[in-house]
Amino acid sequence: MSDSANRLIDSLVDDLEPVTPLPRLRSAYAVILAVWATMLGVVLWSQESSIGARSLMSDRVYFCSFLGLMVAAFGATMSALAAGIPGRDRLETLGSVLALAGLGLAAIACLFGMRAMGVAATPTPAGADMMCFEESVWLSILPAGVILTFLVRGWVSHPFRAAGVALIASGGLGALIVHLSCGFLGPKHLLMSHLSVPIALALLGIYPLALLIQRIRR
Amino acid sequence: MPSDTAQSDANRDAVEAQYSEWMQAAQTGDTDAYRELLNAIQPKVRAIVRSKIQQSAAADDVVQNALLSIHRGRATYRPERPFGPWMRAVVRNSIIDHFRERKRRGDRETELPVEEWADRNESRSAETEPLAPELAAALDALPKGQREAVVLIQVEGLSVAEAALKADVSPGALKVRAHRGYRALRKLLEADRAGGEWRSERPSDRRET
Repeated sequence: MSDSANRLIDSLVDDLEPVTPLPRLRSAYAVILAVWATMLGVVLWSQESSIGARSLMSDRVYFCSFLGLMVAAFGATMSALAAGIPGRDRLETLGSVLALAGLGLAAIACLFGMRAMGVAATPTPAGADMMCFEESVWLSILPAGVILTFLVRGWVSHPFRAAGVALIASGGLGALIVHLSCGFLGPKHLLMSHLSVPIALALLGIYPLALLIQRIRR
Repeated sequence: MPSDTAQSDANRDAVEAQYSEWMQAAQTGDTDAYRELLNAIQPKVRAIVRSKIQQSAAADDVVQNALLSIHRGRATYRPERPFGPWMRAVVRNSIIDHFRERKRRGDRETELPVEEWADRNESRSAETEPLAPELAAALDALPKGQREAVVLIQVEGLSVAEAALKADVSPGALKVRAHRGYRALRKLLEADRAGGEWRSERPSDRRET
């Protein structure tokens, strides 16, 4: 063993402080699910009627985009949490693949719906797109906080990848709540103000968030 | 032979259990268990690194960075999971970081005169021989982070990983600071040798890197 390695081991031992092990991945996942379900419950309860939730079975485009968004949000959440733990690379990759597949499915469903029905067939009132987008962003803050708390306590090897999936996860979870509570079912509206939220958050936030994670890791 | 295989598996499981036990004790702050663990895994870490990196100096650096990552990421180890795959993942990430950094730097970074100075002064003892006045003044003019990195690596003779632990930054960040420090020192010393005057900028005047 080299002298420098011995010296480093001495330094590491001197620097040792008790740490609390990171929670289990499934526990962290359960916490995020509980937070999300509570938020969904509050939003649906506060509305007089939830057209979105009732339309799930009657509108195929709406159902497919919901399914895609759900797979994307929960896959990205799994990937983001796994990104904070060394050795969970497979889970991280699987989650990322699910997230991309979910976003793809939702986008294809919306585009297919737009082509089949025509954009003019399902007009959306002025300002509705922006309203849903903003609401989704607000609703994504709490899940983002929980995911980031886990990531910050963990040991992220790929900050950019982790930041990307964390943003898709939180944006997707927020958009899912809006999707289930929204009264506008037009495919263009679904694409522009529900599905675009995780993508926009990931594109705009990936760099600053990755830098933040990198800085915290130092 | 089936019995040999079974014996080998049993040994591996026992070693794995021992590592896991030491790590759990380390997470509670048991320094003796932690020392045992680090001493036991150090050859394994080195073997993994040497299988990917042939250059001895670079491999040593990566081994130290990997040990530092194991130290800083120890909270992510879960007792119910095997220790080996966790450790190998941390080491693998350190190796990937090394190749990434090498690729990023490429050949554009060249050896600097200040590094040559440091090499020539390897045998100098920081405690017994003071730095040359112009060098001490130039060091004093560096921003705090750069000065700390240069002093830890070149004056105190610490490895990058040791210096990173002391400065509480990642090895990569420390290398960047040190390299910027070398460049700034070179400029300051060249200006001094040329008889020109350089402005002594206090750390608080400059952007921290």
